[in-house]
Amino acid sequence: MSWPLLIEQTFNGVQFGLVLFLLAVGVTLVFGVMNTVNLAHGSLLMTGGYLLAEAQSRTGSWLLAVVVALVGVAVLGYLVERLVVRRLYAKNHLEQVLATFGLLLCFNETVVWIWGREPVPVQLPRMLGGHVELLPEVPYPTYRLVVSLVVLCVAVALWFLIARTRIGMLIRAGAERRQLVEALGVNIGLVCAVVFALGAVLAGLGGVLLGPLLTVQPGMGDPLLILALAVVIVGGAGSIGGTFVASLVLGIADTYARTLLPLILGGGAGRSIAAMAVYLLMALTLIFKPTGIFGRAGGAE
Amino acid sequence: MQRNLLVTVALVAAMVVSPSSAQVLKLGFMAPMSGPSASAGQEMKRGLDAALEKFNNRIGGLETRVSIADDKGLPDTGAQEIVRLIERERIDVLSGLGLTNVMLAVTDPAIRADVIVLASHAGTGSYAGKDCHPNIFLTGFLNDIFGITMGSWLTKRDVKRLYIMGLDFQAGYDIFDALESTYKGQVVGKKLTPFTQVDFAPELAQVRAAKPDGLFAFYFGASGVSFPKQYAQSGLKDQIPLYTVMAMSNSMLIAGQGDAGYGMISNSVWNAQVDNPSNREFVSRFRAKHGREPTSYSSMMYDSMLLLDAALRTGVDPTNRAALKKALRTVKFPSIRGDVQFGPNQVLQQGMVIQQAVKDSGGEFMLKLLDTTPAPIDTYAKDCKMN
Repeated sequence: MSWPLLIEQTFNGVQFGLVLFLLAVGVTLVFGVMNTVNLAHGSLLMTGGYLLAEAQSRTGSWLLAVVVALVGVAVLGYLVERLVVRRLYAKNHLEQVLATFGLLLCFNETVVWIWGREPVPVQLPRMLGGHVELLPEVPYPTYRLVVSLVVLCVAVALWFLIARTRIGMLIRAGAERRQLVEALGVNIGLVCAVVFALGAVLAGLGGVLLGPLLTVQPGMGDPLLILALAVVIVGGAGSIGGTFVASLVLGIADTYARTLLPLILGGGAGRSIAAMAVYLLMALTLIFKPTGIFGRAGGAE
Repeated sequence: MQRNLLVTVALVAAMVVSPSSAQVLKLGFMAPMSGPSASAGQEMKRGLDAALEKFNNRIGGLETRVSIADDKGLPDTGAQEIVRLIERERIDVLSGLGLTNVMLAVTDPAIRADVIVLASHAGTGSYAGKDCHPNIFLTGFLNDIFGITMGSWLTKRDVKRLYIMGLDFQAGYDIFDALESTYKGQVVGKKLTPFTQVDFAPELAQVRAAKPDGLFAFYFGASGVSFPKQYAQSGLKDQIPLYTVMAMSNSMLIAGQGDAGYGMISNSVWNAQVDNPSNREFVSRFRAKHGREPTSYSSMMYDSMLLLDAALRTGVDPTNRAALKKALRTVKFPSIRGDVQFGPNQVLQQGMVIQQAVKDSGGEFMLKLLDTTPAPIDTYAKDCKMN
């Protein structure tokens, strides 16, 4: 394998990891703060994609459609938290999994009901359609580069929000000692709603960014959610920094495994192991550091 | 005792007499109407509806009672539904069948009940070879004919270095193996990706690095939309021509593919421009109702109904299965595909078309007919011992 190809694959891996981060960070926040497993998180990504497609076909403007989609998903996330997820905080994880899986099915069927089963079109703004030369002989799609930059900005903003603002402090405190924060007179219910809506917006942003790359159709977020759960486990549930690092590690590992293993081990075996790479890493993490690489012992189980 | 015997005789007599008492065709239709393959099943149903509309709900001139079964794309659901169709609906003929794994689960019960199976879309080679049976008719196609014809056509077009990509599953292997058996150029790379993979950037980077003269890809459903989109965005669309099969380039997927869907060259068992009266009527009927070209899913389903209609119009009773089988085998029907006929293994032998996705003069999607290829040799027929 040549150097330019290796560099390009590294870019691909980082970009895939960053997209996983968008989805995984919502899962990890909800798990960390509310101790709740949310399988319907991929549905919020799907909703983002559909709202983008619908708004785009109605207004013809990409930027406007992005705003509509993000606001729409935030409102939806808030409503879902108020109406359904709120009732699950006190339940055990199995019940949460069942209930949010039910939510996932409801979301998918509602989308079928409104938009039908066939994929809906999402157009890319023309100025982002081409590709740029990263290095000589390493052309890279402009849009993928933009996606990576947007996610990096979001990650920095998120770090600032969590580490440097009052709401971030409440989120961190809520994750650590929920009752204590409540006893100090903080409306922890509102904090939960904000966290959930924040996670929803990030998932929706994932849908908006991936819409032009993937197929906007019922259940589009579900395969990604499985990977996002692996990211959460490797990174340590509740840890945003851990999720960021784990996203990049798994994104790059997945890309390298898919590219290199078939070359080294031959088609059949290489392909099979490559498909397992992410889950092998997850299993290794669970064996040697069950709380995740950045998880703290004694934190949320 | 005497009375019991009398009642039994009367009951038996009633059972023997009742089937011929009314000339009714009981038609079963099974397809994935929900679940991940639902768009294929729904489109097959559109083909069935177009045929029922054409015949005014009287296929073969007989009152037609259609029983719809949704197999959800799952073999066990299909196995349950076939029991319902046979025992409760008492169907004569089972049509549809979108997926090979479902077909494998339903043919045995159907054969035991002497139900005739017209499989319009599932096409695994075993039913054309060692598992062939007088009750099973493959009215659609075998998977490998796509590979066989594309391999020789690419050789003819002087595509010297070819890269192959596709989904890691049985129909993919069938097509790629067949393609490599007839393609005389060099296969410079081959990448199979699992169903769960949604991002193809790493593979596309390798395609670019290999600098092939052409890329043959087989994706459908969700990946049939995302793959061409990512291929176009990677800039490869301007450098390396994309060849595929009808499942990845059709009037249903183009909505999701957008501009990325134009330019692909594919092969198919049917094209809207095939010029014969049957096809013209079908295409205009379908266009009037759905505002687009039909696809292979709807057209193959419609064509099986043309076959069934022609067979019944020879005057056979659908409950006389032996006569109906003979009629299906031998009747000359006005297929939308033009001149087709059954081989000894009851698989429809047909030529294929090479087509390109373009915009017509009105800016609408169309599959432009580029070339036709002769019927490939059925490699399974030699293993078929029909009895």
